[in-house]
Amino acid sequence: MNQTAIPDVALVDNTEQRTPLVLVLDCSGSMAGAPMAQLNEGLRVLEQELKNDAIASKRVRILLVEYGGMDNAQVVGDWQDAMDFTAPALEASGTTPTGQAVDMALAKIEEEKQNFKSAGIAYTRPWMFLMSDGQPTDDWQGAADRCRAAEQANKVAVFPLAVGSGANADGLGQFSSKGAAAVKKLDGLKFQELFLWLSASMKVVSQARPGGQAQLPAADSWSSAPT
Amino acid sequence: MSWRVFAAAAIGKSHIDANIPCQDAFAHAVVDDRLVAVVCDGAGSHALSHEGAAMVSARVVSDLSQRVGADDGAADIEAFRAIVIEVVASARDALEARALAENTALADYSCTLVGLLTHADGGFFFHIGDGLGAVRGADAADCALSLPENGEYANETYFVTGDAWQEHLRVTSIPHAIACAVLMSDGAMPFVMAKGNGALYAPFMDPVERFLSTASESDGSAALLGTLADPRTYRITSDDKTLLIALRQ
Repeated sequence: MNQTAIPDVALVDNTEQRTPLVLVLDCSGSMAGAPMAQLNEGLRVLEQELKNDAIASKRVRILLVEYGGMDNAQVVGDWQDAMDFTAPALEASGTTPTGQAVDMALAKIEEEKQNFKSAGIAYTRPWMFLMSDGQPTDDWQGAADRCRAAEQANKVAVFPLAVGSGANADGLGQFSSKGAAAVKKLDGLKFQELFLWLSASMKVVSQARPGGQAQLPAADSWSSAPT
Repeated sequence: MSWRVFAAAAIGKSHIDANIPCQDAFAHAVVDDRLVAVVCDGAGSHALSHEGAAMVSARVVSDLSQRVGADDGAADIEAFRAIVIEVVASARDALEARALAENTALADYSCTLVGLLTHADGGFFFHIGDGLGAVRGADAADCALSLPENGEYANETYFVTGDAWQEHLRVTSIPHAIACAVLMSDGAMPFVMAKGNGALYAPFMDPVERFLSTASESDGSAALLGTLADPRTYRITSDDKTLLIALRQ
């Protein structure tokens, strides 16, 4: 088949569809030094990879929630389409209020869904990436219950990530409906490989079609979790 | 005045890369100056969905052609809905028989369906799941659409093979004579439809209609295939793309 297109047709993408991605990032004091430098480098990799993909740059919508300081969780900037996203330079200090950060992420996800609905924009299931290198220092059990319930109700897909030997992997597992099996352990400080995987996954998920099962890339370049 | 029908299904980039067949299918017929047309989109996760799409589109068009030839009372929407239910049920029966013979399951043949039956003063859309139908009268202000039905998420929809197919069967009456009819699978929607799916996208449709208005059915369909298969579409979608355009001239 060597037929060419009909002359003068415009072939442009009029789709208005988004894939929300929330990164919930542990910026507590224990992340200071190399871990935080690698995390920031990883975020720059994510930015570049998504911007380089014609479809993902328009469809992936990113929000960063950082937690640390004096038991403080906060949104960094606001939701941004990947094409407008600029990786921030995060800094490490303070405690690990994982529960607060996850509650904030869940609230922001629901808020964004309402924005999509009122604007008539279609969307795929939001992803929450929950990274921690330590023990939660706030009252996190309630937030874990709410997060697990939200995933069970198909409101969000949760990806817990344990960094370093001090991370509470069992605790992180309680944020996922799949439990401890869902927790990935970062091999060393392979944040760049992790964010390469995440951007590759987002390219797949942001193009997901009805009836299809998104085939995610293998996580073995950065994860030390047994398969 | 008679119907001229142009149609093509182009395989998506992700299917080329993964060595998966095109899972879209279409069928059409003109009976007593009435157009019957169907586009089906096989579900990506089901191995035999391309067979499901091909069987359902062919059977529904063939059965409906016979029914409307014999029964001219299809101007009443409830009567027409009953006919569509019988025809789709019969296509499902055929899939079940095939599944039994091949030791597969009905769900392996999952596909969506968007179809159109015209009569002199209008017609009906019938639709399960995603894909989209659009018609226009001689007066360009006369437009009607049959929009996709998705779940909460854009990548969820409903299939002919689903248990709740009758709940998701949507029949829409078109209250004006039709000069141009368009059916498409969801892969073609991003560039055939304008933002928000409120209307056909003129910078795509106008040159296409202009070309087709003077082309033979076979040349027009070949040109349509060339357009849908254009590598520029790879930046828009990796899905299969099907477009059926019927002009009454």
